[in-house]
Amino acid sequence: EDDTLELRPQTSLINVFPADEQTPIFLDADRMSGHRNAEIQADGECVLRKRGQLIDADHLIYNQPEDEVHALGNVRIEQNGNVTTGPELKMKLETQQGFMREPVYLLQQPVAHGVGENLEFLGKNRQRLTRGTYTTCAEGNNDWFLRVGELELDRTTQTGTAYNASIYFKGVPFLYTPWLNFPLTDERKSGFLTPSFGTSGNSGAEFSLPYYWNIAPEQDATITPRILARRGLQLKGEYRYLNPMYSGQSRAELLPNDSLAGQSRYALSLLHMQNFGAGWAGSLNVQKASDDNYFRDLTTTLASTSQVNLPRDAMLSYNGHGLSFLGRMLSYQTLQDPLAPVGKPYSLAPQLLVNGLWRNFPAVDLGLTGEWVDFRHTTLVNGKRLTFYPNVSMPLQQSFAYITPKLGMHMTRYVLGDNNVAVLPDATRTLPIFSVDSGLFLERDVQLRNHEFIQTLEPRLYYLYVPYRDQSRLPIFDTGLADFNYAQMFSENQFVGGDRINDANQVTAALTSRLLDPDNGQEWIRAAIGQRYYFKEQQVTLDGSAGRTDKSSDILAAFSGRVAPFWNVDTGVQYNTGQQQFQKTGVGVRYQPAVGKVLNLGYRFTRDMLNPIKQLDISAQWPLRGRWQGVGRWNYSLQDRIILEGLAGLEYNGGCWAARVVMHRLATATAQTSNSIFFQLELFGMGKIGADPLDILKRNISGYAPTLKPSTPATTYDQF
Amino acid sequence: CGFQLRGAAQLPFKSLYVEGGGSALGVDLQRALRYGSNVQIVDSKGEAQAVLQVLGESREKRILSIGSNGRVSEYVLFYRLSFRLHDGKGKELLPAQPLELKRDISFNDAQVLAKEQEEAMLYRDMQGDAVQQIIRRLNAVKI
Repeated sequence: EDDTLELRPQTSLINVFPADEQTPIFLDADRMSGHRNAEIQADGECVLRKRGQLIDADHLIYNQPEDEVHALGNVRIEQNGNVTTGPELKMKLETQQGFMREPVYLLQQPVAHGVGENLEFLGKNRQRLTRGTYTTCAEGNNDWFLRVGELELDRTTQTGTAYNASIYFKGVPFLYTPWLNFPLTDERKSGFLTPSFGTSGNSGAEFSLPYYWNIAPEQDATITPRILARRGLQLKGEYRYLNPMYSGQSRAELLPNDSLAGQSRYALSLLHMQNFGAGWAGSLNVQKASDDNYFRDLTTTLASTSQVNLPRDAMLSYNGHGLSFLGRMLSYQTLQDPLAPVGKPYSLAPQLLVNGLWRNFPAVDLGLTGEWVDFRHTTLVNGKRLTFYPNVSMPLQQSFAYITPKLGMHMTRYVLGDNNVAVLPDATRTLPIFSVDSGLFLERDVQLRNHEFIQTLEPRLYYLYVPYRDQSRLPIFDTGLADFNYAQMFSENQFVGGDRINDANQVTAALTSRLLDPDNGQEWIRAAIGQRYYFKEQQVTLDGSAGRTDKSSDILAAFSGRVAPFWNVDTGVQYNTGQQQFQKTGVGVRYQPAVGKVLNLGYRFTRDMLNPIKQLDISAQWPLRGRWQGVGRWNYSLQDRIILEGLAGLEYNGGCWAARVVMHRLATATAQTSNSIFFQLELFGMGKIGADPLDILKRNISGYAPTLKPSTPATTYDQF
Repeated sequence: CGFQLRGAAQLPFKSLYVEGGGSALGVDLQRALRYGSNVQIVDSKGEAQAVLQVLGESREKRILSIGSNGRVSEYVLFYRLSFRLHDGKGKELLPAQPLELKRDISFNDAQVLAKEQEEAMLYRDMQGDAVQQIIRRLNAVKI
């Protein structure tokens, strides 16, 4: 080791004067004349220095009583890191008020430059440019610029405001606006967001220009006019607010006269969450669309087009003292696809739910679930259901093992009402439910690829006994068969919802093993396998059909984690030993060697009569040559031999702008697809990213990183 | 094959306060620590040698696959949270740690009410998993 001391280079000058103190002026020139406390004339290579300011000129007059400089010929002024050159400057040094004729300016933070007829200095924080240009491209680069009648840069509010502005890209004007407002920092500021234009199959060419309104730090709104060539003008508004006690997000979309559909169309969404304090909370989620096809016709994102049941949901809840309460009114607007209609769900009008868990009372836990629901439906049988499920469990726990016996009595009462076509009787169902959950934790140290790990081994056994009750004459309001997965294997009922309780005499055995990093406890790899063994045949089914006769369930196995640097794997299978075939397979592999460089491969398979799935999913974001990068996704159904969702895009990062073109194809309904192309030009520093194609990219390519402007370098000097 | 019974987690502090201990996650965490570690859970920040702070808990439901009719056939549910451990006097013992868990769930629009309850079950399952992972990371803290 070399012990010699070295001076550390200091790249910025240190501010030795308090900010408000008057500082001296230094003036150098070939020739100087004049008097102290009067006017000083300087000629030839004049250099005037004052803290924070540096002025060079051929000829310079300094009026000391007025504190005013008048500089002529090759003038260059540098203040606060910003450099302006021109033929004539007049400025009061202390107040920084004055003007520069025919300026060429270069700004820091954000890096920007331009020229003009006149630049007015309106104090330390404001400048006004008359008839000039502005761009955030690097000096000497004019890939894009604003040509303005007037431009005001305000450092107090960190906004730029342009009047009579045209945006030029590669020398071609393409957008004119009488007024334009943009942020000077990365903070969210009111202003237009990146416009996007494109074309979609059933609406024709379209253009949208979102306007972002930063109402207050905890409130904002986005208003987007969107022109659809074949349909007309659509207006979209979104309002968001966030407060410690409440928050929400409302959206309204209106297409007053859809010339293609021949009607006015709209969609509304209201989401509000309220914290009343003392454990009480409420929420409201109300959505409505004018017609079944609204989202399929007018939106291009899958989250929108795939919507079927729009909720109208109001909730009031309480949580505290081991007790929770929920009161809820819920109904749905069901958007139908005429070729594949779905049954409309029941309305809960209302649902009242109480859950209680009192722990260590004294050595046992007491649990209670109580529910009363009034189920309403226009065509199916109506009814009220009352459920009461008290239970007691005795958790015995050690650091290396636990065993929890649990006994409960499940009681349900049905009172049926309208539409009782099948003449189902009012009924009562009472069932004892007994279970024992137990587990063991083992571990050892292992070494893999020269890395120490802790490997765990966690066997778990779960026994469940529920006697049989005939439930074939009970209605089905809210109940379905749950997916067979790890959480389900260890639950009391194979059905979700209260209308069916399985008969059971069964044991579930599972084994989980993890690789943990001993340094930080993080999980690297997890593997699990499990199976359920039945001691009796299944009698309770959803629809009264014959039940399961197998002695054991399918085997579930899963493996996930970081298998190598940059490689992540996530797999799961469900295997039927009787038929010796896979019922369900999911394989996902991600390779992400760097930010902006990701490849995802996926295969999903589900053997199912009603909803078979067999599809491939490949997506990537990858840098191509130079400044180009490609994005793509191909989600293909091997089952139906169609592209469910496809996306291909190219992005070019021009340094101070990015251009992207994205082609998107999406299955929206039976034999219907939506095809769209989006072009987007993003001018860095002219607004916040956030138009449609980016949302689509982020959702389609897991791990996608948006194109960014290289970060602005800090000024290397500070004052003199 | 070298496996041994897991001993009680030996955390390098004697008392712990769980900030936001009233939440479902907080209750589960305190219970697991009470039975599975050497740490005493205390009721106030002042008497604790370490403070466990859950910084954010969020849930996301993302479409995993769609059918040929454009309807969702599977969702993936994400449960994310972040937590940190400090000594209550400004010293960071474990900087903010993100944790993400996910579960797949099949979906059928005709069974939206049943699926909602199934979702709740999976979120509870992930919460239990998160508790175990948090304790594992606390166990690795060195003071």
